[in-house]
Amino acid sequence: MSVDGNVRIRPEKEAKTVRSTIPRAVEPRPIVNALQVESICKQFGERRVLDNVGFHLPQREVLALCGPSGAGKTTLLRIICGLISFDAGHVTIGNVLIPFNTCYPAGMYGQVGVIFQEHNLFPHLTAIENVTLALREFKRMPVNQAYERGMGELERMGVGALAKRYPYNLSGGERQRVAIARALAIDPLLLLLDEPTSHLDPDRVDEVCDRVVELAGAGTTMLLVTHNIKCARQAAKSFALLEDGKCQVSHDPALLDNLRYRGK
Amino acid sequence: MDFARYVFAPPYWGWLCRGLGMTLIIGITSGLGSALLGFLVLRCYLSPNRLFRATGACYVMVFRNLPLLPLLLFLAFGLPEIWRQIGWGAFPRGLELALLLLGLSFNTGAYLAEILRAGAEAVAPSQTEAARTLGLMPGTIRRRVVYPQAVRIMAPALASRFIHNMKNSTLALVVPLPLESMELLGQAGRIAGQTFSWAEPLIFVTSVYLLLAHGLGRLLNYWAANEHARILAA
Repeated sequence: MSVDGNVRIRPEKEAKTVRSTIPRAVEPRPIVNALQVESICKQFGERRVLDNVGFHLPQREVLALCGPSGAGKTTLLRIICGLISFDAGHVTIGNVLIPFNTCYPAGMYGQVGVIFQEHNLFPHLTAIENVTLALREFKRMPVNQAYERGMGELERMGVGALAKRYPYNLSGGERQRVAIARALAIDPLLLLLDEPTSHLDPDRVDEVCDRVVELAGAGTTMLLVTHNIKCARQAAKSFALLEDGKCQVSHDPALLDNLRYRGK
Repeated sequence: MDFARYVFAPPYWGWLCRGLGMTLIIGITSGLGSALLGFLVLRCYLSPNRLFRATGACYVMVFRNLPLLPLLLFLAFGLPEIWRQIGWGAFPRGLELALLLLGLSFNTGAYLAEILRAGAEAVAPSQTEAARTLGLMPGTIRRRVVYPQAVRIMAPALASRFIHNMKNSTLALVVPLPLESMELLGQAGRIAGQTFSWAEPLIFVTSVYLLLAHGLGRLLNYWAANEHARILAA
């Protein structure tokens, strides 16, 4: 009893009482941001490639990330999809927080679709086999269902007729579209595109860019890394400029005018 | 030269046909055995466990550097002798063919393991990364992405090794196989032992080997060229 007559609870007891009021099963918060990057730092030897980089990407929106070569765009993408570790900060994908000092959760692989600069299709598999591999092995879909889903994605990308061809029988643009279909087939939370048009000749650039704009229109959440300012302006609602490891974000496409290097 | 008398006449023709059958059985079985061993050792090489890696390296070091003939002689004559000296009684009979297959598989397996390792190292790391981002687990990545590409990249070298393995089956001559299990060269020796004529059976047998190796080579090279080109062109 205290002097004022009230019962005083010892701090540890108080803490216990408070803890017991927290419900055991917490309802998951609705996902607002598909991706949130906060204070990410990454250093290779003496060189600091990313310095306190932060931005967020709401669901069903597209963020175009531009910057000169060597600015750290690909490094940032590789961090987000769990291919490399980072030195400080944290990444939140959907509701999953990934701090810098923990391993990338194994369950997150397959939640982030990636389209690489070079398509990275599996050369020993046909286009449809490339698309259905993850459906069968990761999503555990039956063969027929995986085939139908894969064909649907290939047709959506306009390469359904090429399903039986091997990658070496496809043009650069067709390969990249198959790669997009492969990434979309697993139904990822967000899609990372790492300069999907950089290895294509000018005729094929528009071919891939049109598909990216279509996907953006359909509400696919995308982080688009590109040197192609035209494509970025058409597809994205917000823009980020990465230079010397620092990142500026804006909804104004005029931000990209600050680029030292001007793409096509 | 009297081929009609020393090759095509009964019972010699039957012996040679049976010998050809045994050559194919030995070549195919030891080829499959060596492929299995090659993949097992490759799995050891790619393992994060140092003990597995050391085991794989040790196997390759021993069986790649050991000449095949002494190995087969040891399995055929040395092993039964050691067995008796230890005091385990008489060496079980009927194991000669199995020991021959084991010796051939162990020898070729060591070469295949090295070829497959080179192939696995030649698979671009970006392929593994792409597979990982698709949600595939490391075991699935090895099975569905790395191994198939490694085999295709090294297809020409693997084809040569399988032809070599088939020709190595002639070393079965030093293994005391039962008469019905002797391979083609052994049957030629058997004919020569009865007729005192070496030329005809040997000319016939070497021609058969030449055709067999050439046919197998064409078949494997056709497969290898297609698969190899597909990987390199992509």
